[in-house]
Amino acid sequence: MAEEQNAYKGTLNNCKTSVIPNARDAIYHGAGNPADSLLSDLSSGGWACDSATEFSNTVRGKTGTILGAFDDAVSVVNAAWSKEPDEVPENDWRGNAWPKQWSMRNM
Amino acid sequence: MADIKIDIKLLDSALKKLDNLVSAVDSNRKSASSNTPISLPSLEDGDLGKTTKWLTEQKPELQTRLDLARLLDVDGDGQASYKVEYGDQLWEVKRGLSDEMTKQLKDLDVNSVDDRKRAALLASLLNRYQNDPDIPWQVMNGLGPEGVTEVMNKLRNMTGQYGSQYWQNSDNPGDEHTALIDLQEQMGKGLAGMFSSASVYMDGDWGKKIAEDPWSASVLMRYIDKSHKDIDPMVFEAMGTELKDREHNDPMIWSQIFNDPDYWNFGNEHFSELNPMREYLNVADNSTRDAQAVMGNKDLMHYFTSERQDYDDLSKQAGKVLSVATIDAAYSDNYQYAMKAAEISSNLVYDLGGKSNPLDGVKEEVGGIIATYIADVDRVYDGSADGGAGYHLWGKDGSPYGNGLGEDSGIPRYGINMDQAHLRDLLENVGDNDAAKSSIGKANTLLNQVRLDYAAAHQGENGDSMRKASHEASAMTGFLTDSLINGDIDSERDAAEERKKVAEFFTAPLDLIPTDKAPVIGDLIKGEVTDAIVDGYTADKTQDAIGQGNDDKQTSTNQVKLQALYSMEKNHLDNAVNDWPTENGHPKSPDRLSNDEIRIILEKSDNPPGLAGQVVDTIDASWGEKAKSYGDN
Repeated sequence: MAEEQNAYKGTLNNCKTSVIPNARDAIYHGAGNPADSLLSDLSSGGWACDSATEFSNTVRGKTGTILGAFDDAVSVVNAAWSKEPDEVPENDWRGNAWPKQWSMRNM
Repeated sequence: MADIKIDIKLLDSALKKLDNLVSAVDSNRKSASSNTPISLPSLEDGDLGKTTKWLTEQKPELQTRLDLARLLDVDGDGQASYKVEYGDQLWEVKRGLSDEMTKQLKDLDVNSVDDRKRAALLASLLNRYQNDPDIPWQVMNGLGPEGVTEVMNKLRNMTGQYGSQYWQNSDNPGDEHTALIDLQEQMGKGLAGMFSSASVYMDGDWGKKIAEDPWSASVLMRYIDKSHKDIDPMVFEAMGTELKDREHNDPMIWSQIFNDPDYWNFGNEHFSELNPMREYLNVADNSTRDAQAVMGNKDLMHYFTSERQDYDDLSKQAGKVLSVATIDAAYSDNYQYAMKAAEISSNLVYDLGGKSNPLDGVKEEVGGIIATYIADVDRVYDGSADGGAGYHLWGKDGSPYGNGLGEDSGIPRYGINMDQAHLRDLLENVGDNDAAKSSIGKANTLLNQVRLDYAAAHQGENGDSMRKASHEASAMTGFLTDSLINGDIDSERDAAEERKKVAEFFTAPLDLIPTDKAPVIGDLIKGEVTDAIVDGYTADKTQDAIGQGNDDKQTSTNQVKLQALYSMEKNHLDNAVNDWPTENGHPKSPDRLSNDEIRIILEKSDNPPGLAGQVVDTIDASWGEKAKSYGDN
């Protein structure tokens, strides 16, 4: 029985290696907290007092979860990717039909 | 007490970075999700989206402090400090900002480009915080009504002949003058927005005092109207009373008071024929609560709908306000608005149906009110009286629904009290207005169809049902037709001619009445009234064949006869016509019949046997029951 490449799996691979990491990097590329720069502006004199420190700590806590959310998304995709076979039966939706179907998702 | 120091450049940078971070997270989480073929819960609105929402909500913490610092940085060195007592809480920063804005408004004095730039910053903050829940009232309260009008007049003088002419000596006088006008515009918008928002905390005295400077009040109201805002009803009503007392029924007074060209321009607004009453009524129809504040005050209602000299044609705008207060609000889900609409409408009947006459500009709306409350007309046309103005709740003791109508019929839940005499006088007073006649005539015809359909459906249980309904339908139609006769009629011959003209307005789209449960006519009446008021009278007149009666009342009775026979046909009762024309398998309603079809039906109903004969005879006999006698007087 003829088989086709699992194009759907290829899309998942692209998402976990490129789409989601690129989105993450577009927000903040590097280690640390995406809000580090704005918090530094505050502590350097933009607004420095006890209230400001409390405010900054709360912001730091919230923004500290941002990059992790993208990492979690990569894990979800990776789990789905790992369950997919490399090849699928002929005419399976994940095979040759997938690229066209996927390209029409936003139409 | 602690000093909080702000480096403006750094705080501004932090705020921008917060904005950018929120924007970047939202756009990238959405992009990643839409480009991945499986769900990514950690990036959805309910997860990471909550974080960006929270971050957005923190912006005022930085923005408010930044704005306060900018206002305080008078020397422009980029540093500012403010004192706090309660740990630099946002509420006390807002209070500090309000106090500083108030102070700078009081001290407003533009004599240089730098002054103008500082004032422009203040104006931008007035606009930014005009909808804030706290700051508008703090600023307005700090200024007081006299302070507000003082600022407005300072702003006017900036570009006036008596103001500082510094701009003429600036590097670019043209640009500087334009900037001054823009400053007026932004200040005007901001102060008006703050006045509107803060008015909920004001008392009537505030409105009175603001209106004591009618020019300032006019400018503020122009900006409030342009931003589709309104003013707290208590304040707004007091403004109206003050302006009315000042005008003293002499609309020309405004052109005398405001003959100085300095009054004619403010910002981008032009006031060549400055009329505070026009500005007032323009705001009044922006909201139900303001429209009802004006029309709910008996003196103001009487003034705007009847008493006021109408040289400036303002009664048309008063009509719009009346419509918002009554016709529109009558159907409101907000019971207080609906109740107030009924109360105002009842007051109007007793006022304009008494010694007063409506101004031309409100006649359409008066007709619309009567049409809206056609079920109450049905209660009193025969001479019943409610014993004074007021309203009642349909379906409760003393006000049972009639004719099979019910809560689902779409008529206003609150009806109006009135009596036949005032109603008749009011109808006579609007009889020269075609839109009014059209609204009332159509509402009457729709109600009659409901009445006759209900009677026909219950003829089996009550053998007198159709005769009674025919009597009521014909008598009410006769009453309305006769009362709407235009002008002073002094002979029966003239009256006959006029009755025939009026009767031509009494058609309506009867095939549209849904009758699944209770007959639903509220929307139809509302639609007919709206059409008549918005488009003027353009509705179809009675088909030619109905109007070809031999005597004056026959146009009316023909219409009622067709409706009664149509009801009987729909309910398979003994009818004058064996082969009633059909459409899509159903009997054609009278408004759908061709002239030939009408002619044939009317010929056959001339003297039919049985129930049809009783109905036709009753209609002929009842029409003039509530009509007047126009003897040679």
